[in-house]
Amino acid sequence: MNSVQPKPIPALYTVYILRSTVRHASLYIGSTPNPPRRLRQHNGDAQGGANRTSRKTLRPWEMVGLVSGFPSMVSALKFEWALTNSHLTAHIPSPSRLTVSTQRKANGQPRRPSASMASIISNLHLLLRVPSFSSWPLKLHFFVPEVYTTWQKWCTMSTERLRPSLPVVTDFERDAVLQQQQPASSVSSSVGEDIEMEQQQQTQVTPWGIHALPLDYKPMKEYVAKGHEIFEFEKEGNCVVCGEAVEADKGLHAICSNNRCEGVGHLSCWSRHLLAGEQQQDRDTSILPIEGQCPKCHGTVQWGDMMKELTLRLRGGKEVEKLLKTRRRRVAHKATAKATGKGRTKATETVKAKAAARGRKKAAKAMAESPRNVDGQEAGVVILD
Amino acid sequence: MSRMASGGLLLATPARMAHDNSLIIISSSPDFPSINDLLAKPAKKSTLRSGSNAVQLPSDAVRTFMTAASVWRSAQSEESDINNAVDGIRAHRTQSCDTPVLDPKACVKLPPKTAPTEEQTGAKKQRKPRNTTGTRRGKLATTALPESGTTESVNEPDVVGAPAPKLRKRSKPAKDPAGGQTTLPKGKVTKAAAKERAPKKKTEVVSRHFATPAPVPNPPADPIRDEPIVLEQAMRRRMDWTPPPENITNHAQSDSSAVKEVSSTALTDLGPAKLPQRELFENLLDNYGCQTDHGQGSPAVAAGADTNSDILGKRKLIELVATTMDKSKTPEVSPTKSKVPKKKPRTITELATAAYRMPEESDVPTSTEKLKQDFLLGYFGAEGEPAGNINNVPGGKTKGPKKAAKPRVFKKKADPRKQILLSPTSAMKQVSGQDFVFGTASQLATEEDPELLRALHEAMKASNQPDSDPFSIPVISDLASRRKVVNKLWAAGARDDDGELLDLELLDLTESPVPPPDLLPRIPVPSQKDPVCPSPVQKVQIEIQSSEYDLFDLTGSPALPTVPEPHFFLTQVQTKEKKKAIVAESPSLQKPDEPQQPSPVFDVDFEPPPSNQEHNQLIAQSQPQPSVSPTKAPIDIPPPPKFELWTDAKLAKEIASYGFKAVKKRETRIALLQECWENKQKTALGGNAEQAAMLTSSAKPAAVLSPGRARGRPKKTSAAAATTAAAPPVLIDPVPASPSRPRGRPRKDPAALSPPAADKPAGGRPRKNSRSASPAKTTKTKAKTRSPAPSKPAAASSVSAVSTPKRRKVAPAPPKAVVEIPDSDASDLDDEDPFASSPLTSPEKQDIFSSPPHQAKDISITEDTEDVSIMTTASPTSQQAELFRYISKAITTAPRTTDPAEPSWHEKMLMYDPIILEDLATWLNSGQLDRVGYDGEVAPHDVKLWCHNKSICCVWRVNLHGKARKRF
Repeated sequence: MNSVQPKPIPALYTVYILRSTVRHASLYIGSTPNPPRRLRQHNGDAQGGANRTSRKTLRPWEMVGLVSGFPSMVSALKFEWALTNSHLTAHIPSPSRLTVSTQRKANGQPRRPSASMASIISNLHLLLRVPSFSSWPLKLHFFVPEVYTTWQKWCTMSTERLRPSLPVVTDFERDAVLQQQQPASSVSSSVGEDIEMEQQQQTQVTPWGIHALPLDYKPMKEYVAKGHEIFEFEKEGNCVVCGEAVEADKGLHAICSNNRCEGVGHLSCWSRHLLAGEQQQDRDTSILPIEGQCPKCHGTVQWGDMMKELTLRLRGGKEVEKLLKTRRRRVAHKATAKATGKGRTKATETVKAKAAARGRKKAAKAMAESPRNVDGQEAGVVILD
Repeated sequence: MSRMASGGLLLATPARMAHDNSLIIISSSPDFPSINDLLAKPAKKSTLRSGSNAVQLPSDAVRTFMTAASVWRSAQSEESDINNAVDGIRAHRTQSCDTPVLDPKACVKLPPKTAPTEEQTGAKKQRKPRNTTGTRRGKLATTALPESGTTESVNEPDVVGAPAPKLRKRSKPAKDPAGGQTTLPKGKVTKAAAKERAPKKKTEVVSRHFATPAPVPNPPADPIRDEPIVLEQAMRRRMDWTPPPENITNHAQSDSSAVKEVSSTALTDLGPAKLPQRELFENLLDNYGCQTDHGQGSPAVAAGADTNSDILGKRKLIELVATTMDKSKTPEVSPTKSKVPKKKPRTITELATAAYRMPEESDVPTSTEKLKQDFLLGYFGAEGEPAGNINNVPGGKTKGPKKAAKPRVFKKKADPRKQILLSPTSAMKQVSGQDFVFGTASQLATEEDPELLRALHEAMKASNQPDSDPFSIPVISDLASRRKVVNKLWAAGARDDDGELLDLELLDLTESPVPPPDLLPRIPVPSQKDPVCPSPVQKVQIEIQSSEYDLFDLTGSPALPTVPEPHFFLTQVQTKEKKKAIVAESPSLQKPDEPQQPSPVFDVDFEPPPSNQEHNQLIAQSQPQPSVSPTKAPIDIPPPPKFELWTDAKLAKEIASYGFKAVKKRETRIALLQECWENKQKTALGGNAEQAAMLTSSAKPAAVLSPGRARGRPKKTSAAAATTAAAPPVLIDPVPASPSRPRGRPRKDPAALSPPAADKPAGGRPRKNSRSASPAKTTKTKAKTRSPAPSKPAAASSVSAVSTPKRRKVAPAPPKAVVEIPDSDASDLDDEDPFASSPLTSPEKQDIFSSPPHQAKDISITEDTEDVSIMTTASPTSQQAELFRYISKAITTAPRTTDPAEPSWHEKMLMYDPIILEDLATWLNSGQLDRVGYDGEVAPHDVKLWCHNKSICCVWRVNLHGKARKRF
């Protein structure tokens, strides 16, 4: 860590399940921060496809589902490896291991059992439950109804449940969405409804599935802008948890993710507060909170979102500049339409916060216009494209 | 004539060589075949063919007649020569004169030939120079004539007779059937077949050492050349020889063999001498007939200019002869030869080891019979063909007695030699253990024994080694602490001032008295002595008793395989006096071994077997009479404290003598031994309060050892070291070697030798082990060799004999028992280790050769076990949970950072930063855990488990490719 330049939590990092549209039994598990680009690579439309997906008879491939929200490339790679090698990974305790290797390769290593969609789904379900990954701010996406039904089946079959806070969202193709009006599982009902609403509102917009995933920090633009504003103008005030004064330059301070709330607190205080609120027996010894109530606005906050904003504010100066500058341009041209489009993918927060966001955008715009930021504009534009 | 016939036969089969004399054999195989034949023959060919084609044939006929007469004379002279070498020489000279008269070329060639031949026939002394001359000639390879002369010279004595035999073969079938002739054709036939097959096989078998691929092509050329040059006589001789293209070796052998035959006839064998006489008469007839044949044979030869054609012609002729003469034998011989090579499936190992086996077996030329037997065994074992040839040559008589006698001779002689063969691992160890002394030749010559140098070196090392200090051991109770804190010489000295040495001795004394009374009937005697005082002698007694006790326990418990150990133990226990007595008892065994041993290492190996036998004998004696063994034991056994005292110089010596291991290993070994000693002492201390307690303590170590092999071994090794230290180094060396070798060899024998060669070799090895034991035991061992021999309480000696078979059979229990024994007989284990086979590993690893050494493995095992234990301790969830709680507490309670650029560990985790395990572990161990109240350190692996439990993304500092991570 010390020697390596720290990075902010990536806007998106996913572990995906790839399936051949020609032969549905052909499956592939991979990880990428950019699913559309990666899919093009798999299909041969771009350089860098995996060899396993290079057979022409199996193309084109499709991403039937993915897990998003990985806080780092390392974590995504770990999860990918664990899912690919579910017969080996140490993250699965032996009693609960589902996939067991019965053969050995020539080098003596256990041979990986052939994977089926059911096995992948079951292991995915298992890995999302294991302590190694259970507290990660992950999100489960399904883009094919058939795979989602498999998932649902397994959820009913499995004796153990996922943590209820784990969002599971579906984003089927337009036709499929119509057929399954109520796909939402108990966990993801609210999110799914929002997505469906968004899609219904934008019938003319084709993007769905992986193409609808946010590849950058745009969805949290308001959040980032709020944080930037707070610390730019030293509005942090006192810690919402401990009440002590927050010294901006001396420590790590998280901000409530709710748009209207400007609650700021020490990182450790936030975690302690949220962990205390989770009220789980195991949580007394846990380190990572998942979600909780903001002590100030009493709204639900996602720890992953808060950390994304914190790391972005802490380490992603460039990204922030780009984000804010690009927003300024776009705001100038597209104004409200943009906001709605962003809100579609952003689920709970965006819709409520639109109005407030505008006001903050203006403020952010003003900040961005400061002379020091002028140079970064063009670079930001390029990246956004 | 007789020479010719016998010589031809001899030439064909190396076995014959063996048959005659050991010396002859030696000369035959290496000397002549390659060089002389190769160089001389090719030159001859060109000249020979040109001369032989047309004109020479008639001249040959005349010559043959002339030669026939000369042959007569020569044969007679040879007979007389048997008694008087000088006469024979003269006769040869006359013969040589005869031949040159016919052809100037031949004359030129002949004189040199005749001279050496005469020398050969005349006296052994002359033979040697002849060989040298032959080699020189071959090396020169200048002119065809001298070369041809050399080649012919070999045959020439034969030539005089040779043309006759060839003629006989061809003509005899048609003209004169005679016993002498029959013998000749047989010999020739065998030669041809043997030459063809045997040389190839020989090359295969002993490929590198003996095989001379180059000579093979030359021999065929030789016959051709011989034919033209010497005219028909040479032709026929060559023809006989030629059929196998690779005859060169045979020629050389035959030459030597011919000489040998003469000598042999003169010395002992009347039968062969008689046969040549008959042959001479027959040959005369044949010679007459041969002229007619000459015309036939020569055209045939001319037609088939090449050696191949010659061979074919010869074979046909031979067949004809066979029909007329006593052919029943000849045909039998040839098929047997062919069959034998086919039957044997040769493995690479056999090929590789054949060369070594041959010399070993043959090297022991105590008597002609033995030699013959050895040769037969060697050939049969390695090469079936030559053996067949040998049998044919001497006749039916030799075969029967040879085979019967073989096993006996083999057993006596073969044992030490067989032991020489070591498995690759053991060989490597020996090599590694060998000390290299560098210096000028004069320095080396003046230098003292390598043993002395080695001892000096080791002593210096030992004195410099902190671990080697015996005094340090008692002070440091914990192994871990001891390892960490390397005791230095000064520290050891300080301890000496403290007088810890005395403590050690006291401990030993305490140990010794306890076990003997309880366990062993013998014990009471030593127990009486024990109370007297803790003198070294008493200590020795105590140890012996303990060892015996262990042995008994082992025997009593079926699970423990005590078979091998008891022997070792006994051997170890035996003091110098006993060893000396043993030596006196079995001087014969050692004596033969000593000369054979090429290098000190080998000597060491050889020495042990007799000692084992002796030990076994002693054991056998002691067992029936329990009282005897204890009495001896106290005298012989060195006390453990003494061992420590001795360790510096003598331990190193012992280790070197045992294992031939590298210095590094020795150090580790010493460390292990010391540790084991400490453990013993600790156990003894625990039980010091009461004798009963002592008994329990002594018993406990054994029991502990038995369940856990890894832990048991070190203890054993320590005990062994102690015992070894007590015993004089020289004596000790043989002892360790003996146990290992008998075990390893028997394994080899049953695995490799026994299946093909039947039970004889296997029986011979067991005999070694069981020699000391009663004959009944030996028989038991033989019968039980393959069946898992149960460890009988009374039959420690029997166990030793049986031990080898048990190992093979995969009787894990016996080796375990051996392991347990260690307390008393650590030396046993040590001995085994150096030579490679410890009882435990022996069943698995010991395949054919000696078992590999296990000390290094033992060490590793112990370490592994420790690690495992640690892991197991850590594994319990309760402990883990507690540790995790402390880690969590330490992390969460750490003050939050004041610098956003460097968040605390807790903040890193909250921000989902990948955690570097090593860094976190270091941070935790740098006082954070202590701050929280956890006394101890955390390994990165534990931190990893904690991270996994807390859903924290963790990574190692280095990625799988061994490079530092550049991104997260």
